[in-house]
Amino acid sequence: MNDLSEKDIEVFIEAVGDYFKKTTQEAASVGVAYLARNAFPMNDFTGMIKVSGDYDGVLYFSAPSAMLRHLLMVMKETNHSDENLLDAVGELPTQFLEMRANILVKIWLFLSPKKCWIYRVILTSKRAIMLT
Amino acid sequence: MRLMIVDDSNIIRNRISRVASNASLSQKLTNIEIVGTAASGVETHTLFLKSRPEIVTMDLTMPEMDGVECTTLLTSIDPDVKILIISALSDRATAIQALMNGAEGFLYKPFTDDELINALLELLEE
Repeated sequence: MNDLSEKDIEVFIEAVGDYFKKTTQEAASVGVAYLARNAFPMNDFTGMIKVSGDYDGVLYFSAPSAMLRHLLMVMKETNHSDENLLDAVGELPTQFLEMRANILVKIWLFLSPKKCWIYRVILTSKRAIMLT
Repeated sequence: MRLMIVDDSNIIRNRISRVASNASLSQKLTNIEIVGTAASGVETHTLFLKSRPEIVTMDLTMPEMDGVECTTLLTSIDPDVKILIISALSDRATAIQALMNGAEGFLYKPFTDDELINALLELLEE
């Protein structure tokens, strides 16, 4: 298993930036990226998607409920139930990975959409749901 | 035109449904009727046989049966069905595979309302 390089992390930063710019018409402000080896920042809702290959691991997307509600509002979704917030926090990391699949497949991981969904896990601070 | 929406994300299904319905009401799209939504391959198969849509929007990454397999299945049942793939997958090989298996259009996520309407319009014009 290999460590992520600065270039690898940039791929995700670009995907996150592109997603929010397209969805909200506002560029996302991205802070300094860092590798969290032990403790992961956890907000109200956290999505986790498993990837496999040389960099076997998971991609986390953690957000406060207020941010997710805002995102749903921008998408004109009026149902801001926990179910839809969970849906959003699972859909976003999937799109981040998929948006850069053309690069990621070539440079550092084998991304199987089917495997991603089989192993997709959605966590909240209070409960964990395994989606298969 | 009878439209079926396939995506495992509830918020994406709702969004496509809302945009298509509003576009139909404002006559940007003509006579679109949402005949159902499905979140998995099994649901898609059952609903397709029951509602016989003329157009389908199809996600690619789904549990049980992915969008490429679903596309193959639906076009084998009805070769005239028009399928629009809606996915964030930027892997060209997957897009080409979906188109070779019978899909007629491809729209990248995330998408704007206008991009979705235009993609559906292009599909209807073909």
